Amino acid sequence: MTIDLTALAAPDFWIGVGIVAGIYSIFSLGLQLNVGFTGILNFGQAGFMAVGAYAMAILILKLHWPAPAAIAASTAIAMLAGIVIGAASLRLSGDYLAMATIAAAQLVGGVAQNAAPLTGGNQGLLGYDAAWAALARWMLARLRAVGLGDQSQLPLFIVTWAIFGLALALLTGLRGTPWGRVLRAIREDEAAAAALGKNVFAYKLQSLAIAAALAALAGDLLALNITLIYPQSFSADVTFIGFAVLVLGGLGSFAGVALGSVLLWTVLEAASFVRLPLAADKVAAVQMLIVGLVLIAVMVWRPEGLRGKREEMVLRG
Amino acid sequence: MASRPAAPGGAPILDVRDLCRAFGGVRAVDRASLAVERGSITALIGPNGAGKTTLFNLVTGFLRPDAGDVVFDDQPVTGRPAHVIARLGMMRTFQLTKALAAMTVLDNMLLAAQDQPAEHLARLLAGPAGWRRREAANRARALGILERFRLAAQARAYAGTLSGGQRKLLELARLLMAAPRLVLLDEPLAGVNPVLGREILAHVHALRRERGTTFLFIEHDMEAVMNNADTVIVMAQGRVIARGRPRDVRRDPAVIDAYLGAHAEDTA
Repeated sequence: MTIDLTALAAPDFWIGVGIVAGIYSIFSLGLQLNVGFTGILNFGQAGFMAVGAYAMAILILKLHWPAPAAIAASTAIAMLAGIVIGAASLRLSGDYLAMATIAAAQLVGGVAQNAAPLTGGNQGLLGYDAAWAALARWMLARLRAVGLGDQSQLPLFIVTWAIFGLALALLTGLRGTPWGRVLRAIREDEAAAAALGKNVFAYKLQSLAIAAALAALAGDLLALNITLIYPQSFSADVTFIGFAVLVLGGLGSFAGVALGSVLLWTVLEAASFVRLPLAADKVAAVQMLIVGLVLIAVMVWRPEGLRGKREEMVLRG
Repeated sequence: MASRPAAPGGAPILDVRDLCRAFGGVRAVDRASLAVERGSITALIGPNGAGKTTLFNLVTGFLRPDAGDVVFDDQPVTGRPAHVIARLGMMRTFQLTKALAAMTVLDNMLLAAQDQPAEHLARLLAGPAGWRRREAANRARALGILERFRLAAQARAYAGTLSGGQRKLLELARLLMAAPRLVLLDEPLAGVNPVLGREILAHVHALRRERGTTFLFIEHDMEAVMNNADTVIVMAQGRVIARGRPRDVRRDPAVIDAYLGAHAEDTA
């Protein structure tokens, strides 16, 4: 076994990690809103991500929509999906709701696999990123002026973290409002919130719709990053990495999501520098093993996560 | 079975007619009828399993009745959702206190305020400025109420750090913030020391005196019931078997039977 860490010094490594970490940060902001602030166990977040990415790609490729309109529509469609799935499942509690959201995400995956004329089936879709490529070239020309022209991935990095910053500001702002307070009350005790006159179902629906919109934005960015989407791009693993980010960053902290995501993806990508005399699929398994160890270490050291509040965790039991 | 006498102060604030709810084969509430007079402090008593808490759940919308009618303040509310009934002005507490543990005492209070439009996303996004004034006014009102309940020092503490008795007080303070016309208390004195129990009862009397709030409370402490209730309603096996002034109910043979009957079953 050898470890070659020279790549860690290269900027393109960090830009690559940063893009993926940023995408998962946006994705996990939605999970944080659901799990950390509303008490909804949403295990179907990857499904909303798929809805967003496919909606964008299909609108661009099949209906020839301009990219900005397609991206806006993809968020709206994912929100609609959130409302439909939520209306059917949000009256369920805890574990049952979690099962229903997993099933909904499976359903999305099933459609993506089988509606081949629209989604390309298992071959997937590509070629939807022409407008983005043009914008990236324009941005690179500007970046060249400040000496950053040779980092071809830098535009996506900037756009991703700009979107994360906007979403973070919006959610942080909402958290401090009376609306955010009702969400926290629902997280604490639904019956108590209802007894004080709060329409628990309506708030949960709003929470899920906003999370779905964030998943869709993350999905659009992921699609631009990988330039080819197929059903496995949005497998249940994506949701579980999102939950790992949530636990690492700490439940109930929006900013913690970014810390958790950067830590997780740094470890995940750096783990690939550990050269093992093993087949590629086994190396991938070893990577996840290392991530698991890091997760355990953080949980032992800080059970509330990097930015979570220990007192709230203890009080909630 | 006791008939419903017309309340002297006009129509009753709560009128329950032939309410039924079964769980599997068990008829938890079986054609229960009762009326609560406006401005009264009414006790709901009965042996364990009589259906008192189920009746509360049916009346406040936490359970749907199989049959029967609930009329609150001349409005039919049968089967309406809990939050709608609460907003109409009928609010309840639970047997196990539901202080929102990982929220501050002050946030618990602000949550109860019924006049904050920015709780709704659409109105929050439409007018992001006006709600802060309302919030400041509510905060001042909440701190005043907390002062009265001797919880002001804990306003910024998590509600979960309060003692059991303080949580009961917080629940009552929260109700005062919400200002309902009818309050249903499910065993407000259970697990509370006698001093705090007297304090809670004093708050109940004060609220009725100052605001005309009506109270319906489930309680097993007979001394508290006899000394504080204007009217006592007795349930047994899902039905209302007696209703009257405390000293009359105490002598009612049907009531004595129900309690002795339950006692006999317990020891059998």
